[in-house]
Amino acid sequence: MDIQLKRGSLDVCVLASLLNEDSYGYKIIQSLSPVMDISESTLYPILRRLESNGCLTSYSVEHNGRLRKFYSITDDGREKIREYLLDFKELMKIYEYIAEEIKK
Amino acid sequence: MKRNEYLETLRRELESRNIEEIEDILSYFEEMISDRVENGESEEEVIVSLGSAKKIVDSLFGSSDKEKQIKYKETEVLDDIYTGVRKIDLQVNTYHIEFIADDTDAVRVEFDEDEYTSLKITRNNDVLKIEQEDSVKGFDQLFTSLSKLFVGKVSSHRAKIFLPENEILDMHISDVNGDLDIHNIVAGEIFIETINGDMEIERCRCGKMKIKSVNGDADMKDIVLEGSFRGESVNGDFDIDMLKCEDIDIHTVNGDVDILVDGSRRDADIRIHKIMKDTNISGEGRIRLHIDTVSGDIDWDFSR
Repeated sequence: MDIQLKRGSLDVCVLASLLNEDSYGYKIIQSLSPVMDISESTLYPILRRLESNGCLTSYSVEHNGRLRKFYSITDDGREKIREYLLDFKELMKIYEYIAEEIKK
Repeated sequence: MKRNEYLETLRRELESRNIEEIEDILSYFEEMISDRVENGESEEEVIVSLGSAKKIVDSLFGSSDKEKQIKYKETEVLDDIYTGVRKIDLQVNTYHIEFIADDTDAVRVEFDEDEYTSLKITRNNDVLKIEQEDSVKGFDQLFTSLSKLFVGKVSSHRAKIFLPENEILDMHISDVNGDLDIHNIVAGEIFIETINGDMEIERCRCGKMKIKSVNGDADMKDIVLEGSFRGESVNGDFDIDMLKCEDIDIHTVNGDVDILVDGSRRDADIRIHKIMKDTNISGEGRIRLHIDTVSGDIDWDFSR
């Protein structure tokens, strides 16, 4: 898959994994693993980027004597998902057009 | 290798590359290791699967191998060719162009290139023409249009154009998908035509400015305009923050218009022709407003 296409989708996938509850790094990777293989070092820059864009916020929670960083989606994050779905719809139209032309 | 030893190697690798957010990265990986161990993996296993510290830092910040880093091709010593330029004629497709004010009196261009794309620079009297040459025409354009739709932003190539601080140049730019950053520039006139490229124009001073855009948004901050501004767009938004301007004339079908004119010394005549969407205007001083709209909201706010 093209790297740029994948990058945009990854961001939105990470945001989507936070839609129903706040989550932390390891758990995000686990919940995305059926859809895509995402490594720790791939996830880190995505989280940083999304946080600096205001799409998510983070806070630390104590767990077994250490800190665990939780991420929480913001309204901007939800908006980003919505935009992505709209863009995707546009792209599907193009896809259908191409598929249609191939069939002819 | 044990966890602490591994994290220490990672720290040294990060330090060797002058990376700022070291603690943040270390605590992130420490948490990852702890969580994976808590879920039944052995420390050794986790460390092996994370890969070497170098590999991690490479994937976070790009390879440290020199030949793999983006190389800017610097034009040869061309002072005699690029001095005395009065006009820049730029025609690009996918390049993300950054205009930078420089304290020399020559124009300098730095760009990265690959086998498919490059910039061609020619000079005709006092006009410097910079064109993007695609060896695979069409493909690049289709690819970027598609990926732009899909992921939002794509600018695969970057170029920096250094402009002399004390020379006043005219800039004519025709662009397809690449974004434009114009910062701290003093120019005679700036004309931009773009399809999808977004424009960020900040702290610039110029005589006249004209922007025609289909989908590209124009974000303008701290602009001093001696003359008029004219903007035309289909979907592109205009977010305009002017320190001074003569007249503003905007025609848009679907773009949002947001205008703030601050301390304009002269009377400004603002005309907006819109079909849909909202308009916000605020300002100070005496401003004549002329707005035609079919179905948009209009908000205005003048301090005086």
